[in-house]
Amino acid sequence: MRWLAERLVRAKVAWAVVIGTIVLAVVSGALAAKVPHDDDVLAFLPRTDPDVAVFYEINRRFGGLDVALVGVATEDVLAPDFFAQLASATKALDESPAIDFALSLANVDDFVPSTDGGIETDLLVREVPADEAGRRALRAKVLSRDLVVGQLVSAELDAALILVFPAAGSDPRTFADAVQATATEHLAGRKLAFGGAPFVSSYVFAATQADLARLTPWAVAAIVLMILIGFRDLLGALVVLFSTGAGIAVSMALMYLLGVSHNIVLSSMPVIAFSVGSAYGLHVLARYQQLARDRDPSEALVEALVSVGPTVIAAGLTTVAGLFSFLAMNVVPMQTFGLYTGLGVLVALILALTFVPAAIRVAGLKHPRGEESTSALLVAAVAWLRARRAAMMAVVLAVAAIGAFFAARVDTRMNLAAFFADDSPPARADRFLLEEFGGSQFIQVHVEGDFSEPNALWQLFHLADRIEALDSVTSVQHAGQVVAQLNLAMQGARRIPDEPEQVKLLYRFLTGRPAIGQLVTDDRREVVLHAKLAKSDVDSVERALADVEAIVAAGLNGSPRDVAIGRIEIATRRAGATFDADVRARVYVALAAPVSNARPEAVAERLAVFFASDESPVTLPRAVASEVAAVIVGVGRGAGPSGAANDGAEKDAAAKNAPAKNASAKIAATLDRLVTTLAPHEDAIGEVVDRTLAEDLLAASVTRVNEARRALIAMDRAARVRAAVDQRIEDPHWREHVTAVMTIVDAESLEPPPLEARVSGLPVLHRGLSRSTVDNQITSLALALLSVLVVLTIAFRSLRAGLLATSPTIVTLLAVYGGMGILGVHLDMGTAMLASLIIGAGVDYAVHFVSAWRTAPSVAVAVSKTATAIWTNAMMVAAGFFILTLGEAKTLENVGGLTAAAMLTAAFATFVCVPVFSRRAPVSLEAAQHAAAPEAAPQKS
Amino acid sequence: MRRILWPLAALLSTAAVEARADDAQARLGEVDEALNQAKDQFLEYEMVDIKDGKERTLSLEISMKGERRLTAFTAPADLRGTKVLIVSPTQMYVYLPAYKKVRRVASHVTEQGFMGTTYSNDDLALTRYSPKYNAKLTADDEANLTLDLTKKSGEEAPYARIVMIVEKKRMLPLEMKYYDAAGKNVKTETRSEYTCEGKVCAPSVIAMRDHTDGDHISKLVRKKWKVNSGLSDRLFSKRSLARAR
Repeated sequence: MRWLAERLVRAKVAWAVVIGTIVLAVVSGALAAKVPHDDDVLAFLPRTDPDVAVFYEINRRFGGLDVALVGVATEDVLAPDFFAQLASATKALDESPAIDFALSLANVDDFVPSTDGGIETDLLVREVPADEAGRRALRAKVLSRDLVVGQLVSAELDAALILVFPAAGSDPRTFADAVQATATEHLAGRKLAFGGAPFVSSYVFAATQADLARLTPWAVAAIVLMILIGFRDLLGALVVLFSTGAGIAVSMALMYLLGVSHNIVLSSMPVIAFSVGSAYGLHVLARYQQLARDRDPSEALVEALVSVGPTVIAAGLTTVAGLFSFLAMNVVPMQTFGLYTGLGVLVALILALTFVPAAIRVAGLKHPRGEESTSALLVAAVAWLRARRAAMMAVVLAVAAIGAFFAARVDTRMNLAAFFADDSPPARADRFLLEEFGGSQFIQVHVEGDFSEPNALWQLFHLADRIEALDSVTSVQHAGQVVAQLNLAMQGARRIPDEPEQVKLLYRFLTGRPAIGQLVTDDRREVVLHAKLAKSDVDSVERALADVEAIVAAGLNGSPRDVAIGRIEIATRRAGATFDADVRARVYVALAAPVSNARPEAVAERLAVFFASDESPVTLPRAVASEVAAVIVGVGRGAGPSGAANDGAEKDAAAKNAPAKNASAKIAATLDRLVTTLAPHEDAIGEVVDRTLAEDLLAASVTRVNEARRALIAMDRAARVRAAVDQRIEDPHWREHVTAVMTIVDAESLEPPPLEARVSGLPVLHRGLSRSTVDNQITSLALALLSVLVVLTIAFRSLRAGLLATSPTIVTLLAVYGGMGILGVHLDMGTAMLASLIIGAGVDYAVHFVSAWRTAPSVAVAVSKTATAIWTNAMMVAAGFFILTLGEAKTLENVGGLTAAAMLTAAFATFVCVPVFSRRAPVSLEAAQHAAAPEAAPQKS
Repeated sequence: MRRILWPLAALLSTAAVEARADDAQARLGEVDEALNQAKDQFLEYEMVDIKDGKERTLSLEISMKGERRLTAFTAPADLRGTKVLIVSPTQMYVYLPAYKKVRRVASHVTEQGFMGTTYSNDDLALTRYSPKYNAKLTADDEANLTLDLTKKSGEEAPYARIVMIVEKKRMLPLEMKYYDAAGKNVKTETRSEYTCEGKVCAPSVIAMRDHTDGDHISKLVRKKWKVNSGLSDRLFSKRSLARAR
């Protein structure tokens, strides 16, 4: 150290070091400014955690985490002027290069049975009718769509939501900006809410940057002021600040050169590096100032480096080792944080021992005028503590115990509210989505199986119904609903079709529709169920998650009757009626009762409607259609039961019970009767009436007769359920939903092929992240404290001294984390960084104080040697970061406030713990005050 | 003198423009004629659809007579037997073998991709351009000419504008760029490797790229082609849909 110091006081060497450092800092600063920012939140995920691994996989396959939500408040979403604006905004968003597609009420399409027969595929709302009656009908139609109400429009139709999906590879902030700009332009004058992860990350970044830009000059002014108060030396203050800044710049330049991106965790790197790294230069400066009082500046500089250098190195290397312990974590960004913060601190340490003395030499700094007041006060305080050592030890241990008690109660759950203030745009958007759309947080259930199988889809419905029945869940979306809606168009019932081929065909119709990709994979082997939560506070979300996990754990193999009752329960609850245990029991009895066959006349009536429709092989006049239907079903006007359609409908039974020859004869007779019935109407029909025509009509009737029978039986059963529920139900869709599920009641089983379900979603991710943060925190803290103890024991060649120097850090950790427990501050990735700061600062202060005491004749001398540097460092960092808490960004508020508190606590703990835990002889107050005086004689201890 | 000359010049200039427009419209009529030379056609296609790097293949047979068109899917397995009958642009039926029924499809979402491909129902139904579009000749070289088509007012047409490159020798379209009302090029279709049976010519490869959907592309490769084989009118009826071929 002396060799280095003697060279640094040579003018040429000093100038070379100063110029070299300035050049290095400028170049590094230019490179540091180019470090790209990475907003990818998935980068933080510890892939080894099972919850996080599942979430990552689901998000990769289904997307969804990066969907932007644009909420629009209005009086009536179906008012023509509003709808025109919504359509214009949706179209503009859809066409933006940063956006893959946008979905809203203005472009969502719909499959429904046409009023004149057939399927109608159209936009759900193509245009808003000019007349009130038309608008009423449209309102009823929109409100009947489960997949739209609560998802794209509010239940009162007074708010609309646009779901915006980013184009592949688009930058999250560019995407969020494009969505916001386009929506604001096309929905001018409307109250808008921008929700979803892209806006949250964009807001947090923008708010933090804005606060930093606005508050940094004030923070720097506060820091400089504190150094001036401590050292009364502006140039010295600037030298120390520059050396710390250069250290951070070099570290960031390395990030740029090695292709490492900045992220939300790494953004705290400069904070930690500055807080810890600035202390080293201050110690050198402080010791120089002390020695320069009565020595030649060059001599004082050499002696300052010789006396304080080894301690600075020991403290610095201990801190660097603690930061490098982050490499033991399983989260890559945390490892990166530890590595680059450690490097920043290391460079700051090197510059404190090279650049700072060289700059002092070049600038010709001298001892500032005036006397120190800090030391005298502190010396008195320390002497007072030493005089009451036993009592004070009890107090410190009590504080540590209380701290430990509350530290164990620190809430480790991820709290999104910690990232933005109550009146911030993301918080307002969250409230808007909660009020108008029943929630903004989702739990996902990922299920693997063969979802071409109808039974698998029924079990998906059953799972969804059980989840939706929870009070904490407002609605559930899944692929089964889409398949059922399509089946309504194909088969007239909003249910899962009976045959896998039918399900596969329906999926074909959905191919290429982007929103479907959020619910089912192309190979139909995986589905995701989205449960919207009624509340978004941490406790409610946690309870909901536990309930959903319990339901999933119970399995996916409901009996046909359980599945039906689940559907009835949801339909009844949605209709605003009660579905308690009594109702459930009555419905169960109603479902168990035997059913009678459908009346043939009713079947014939439905068949007649089909023959008169455009879908009939030949469209028949209504009267002729009735006659033909009567012949086929075997009712009315003496046609006599032909049994032909029945044979077709129940071909299995016919094959078993009647000889094929007899059946053929019946069919032949029916065909003859059909020809006879149709012949007089040949002109009206417009086709040649022959046996072929009769065959076509008979063949087409088989499916229709089957469907008619099943529908009529289902309606009869639904009427019994209605009686069992025994409440006033005004929802016109209740009967439709209940009737649709009656067809499965008599099924022997709905046992699906094997299904495997896992709960996921942001709440599960947050749980995984919290678990990972706690695990990592414990691991890294244990490692860091152990390495601190080992390094200090070696440095002081004494375990006792090592423990003594470590004690302030432990007490500070317990006090700060205990304070977090008392104040309800959550432990998350941001606040977890504090530990490294506490270790860095705590070790630095304690090492200097213990080291000074070991070589000084008395505690008073040790205090006077170190107090200025320690308190100036603590005060300047605290003042700087307190300024940052005055901004809008909640992240800065948390980190800034806790950093300020941690620095002051670490300094305070140093001057309390070391004197209290040290076994060296007590000092009388008078002796201490006397020793603190500059002319004091050395005192033996 | 200038008072007389200016109106005269304007009149002559207007007449020239109208003559050129008439010429372009006549050329478009020739394209329509070239495209509709056959009394009937039967084609077998393999369609490769590529979206987001995922590729899927469909096989289909198309029977055409006048503006009627019957499309029958033969692969993949879950689509086999599905048939789509277009009787007119507003009259479409689909036979669903899994449901064993014919359904009338009243589709107002005609611009949406058919079965997830880049071809919309409108694209499939658009066989004649001159009744719906006004043509303007924008380029004319030795081999090709370029017609700029704009939708006639009052006509229902799927695209506001089409820029069509036509091979002069046979008056067959080689490339068509489709534009929406905002002037954005939403799709581009290329027709290549024309072969002819007498006066009837058809492309062996047709590709439609949808620029609004991440450059989603559907490519049809002709496998079999029969011209004027005497397809029966009965084939294009609802009654024939449910019958096996």
